[in-house]
Amino acid sequence: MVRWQMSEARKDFSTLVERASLGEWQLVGRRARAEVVLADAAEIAELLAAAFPFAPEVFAEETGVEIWLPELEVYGRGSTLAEAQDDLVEAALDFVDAWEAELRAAPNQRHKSGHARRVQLADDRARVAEVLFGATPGSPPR
Amino acid sequence: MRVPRPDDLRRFCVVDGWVRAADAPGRRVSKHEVWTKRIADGRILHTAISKGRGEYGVPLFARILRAQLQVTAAQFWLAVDKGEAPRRPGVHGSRPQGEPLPFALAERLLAAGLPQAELAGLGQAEAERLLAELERRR
Repeated sequence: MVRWQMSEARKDFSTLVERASLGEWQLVGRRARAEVVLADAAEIAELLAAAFPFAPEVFAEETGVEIWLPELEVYGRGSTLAEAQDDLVEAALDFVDAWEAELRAAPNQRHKSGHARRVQLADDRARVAEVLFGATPGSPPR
Repeated sequence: MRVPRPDDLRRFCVVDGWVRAADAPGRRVSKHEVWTKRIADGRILHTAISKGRGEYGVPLFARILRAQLQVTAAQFWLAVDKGEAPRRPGVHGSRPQGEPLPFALAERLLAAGLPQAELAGLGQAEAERLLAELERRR
């Protein structure tokens, strides 16, 4: 693990990125205190996945399917399971947008940060679906 | 149990003073209507109403009431049918009868910016947690 002063990090940023992508965390700060960490995104995603699993709940109705995501307290609906999954992906993305903008400071929302970060780190809808439902055949809907 | 349609949820949000989030320029355009409501103690409620489709199922509606809207079914339908906005004094947890808040704690909560009406229904443990939260944000 390497500690960098802010000014050094600014000058040598590409080196920091290269080392971080190889799995070596780069701590950056002013004086002796680390204020930010540059780390490999896949490693962070793995750590978050282990600590913050999702357990969606499915309710099959006569007219369709509804899925509740207790960790973010959002839901998706559709006439089929795949449609409900797609709707839940949309709802999760809506949530993290709102979470980033204002919810994360609220005392009743702050505890969702680990799960919200997992969705943020997924870089497209298919990956978000994988994060929420796991990589099962037939899903996620793209 | 009576269950709502998306229009009922929308009507509830309007009556209860929720704010509909606008799609920010340059950001993803949502297929849902996203609504938020700020509560005086700092909490922010969030819901997203998907377009189309009919009635919600009972299990999902129960979760929406409890987790997102934080009202009872009776309060929800009173808002939708009669236009009466719900009060949420009980969301902090009920104070056991005969257990007053210590004066110093009540005084510090008010000084930290909690509206007096929000003291109603606060138990001591919840009041202490809330005070720590309010003081941390100052």
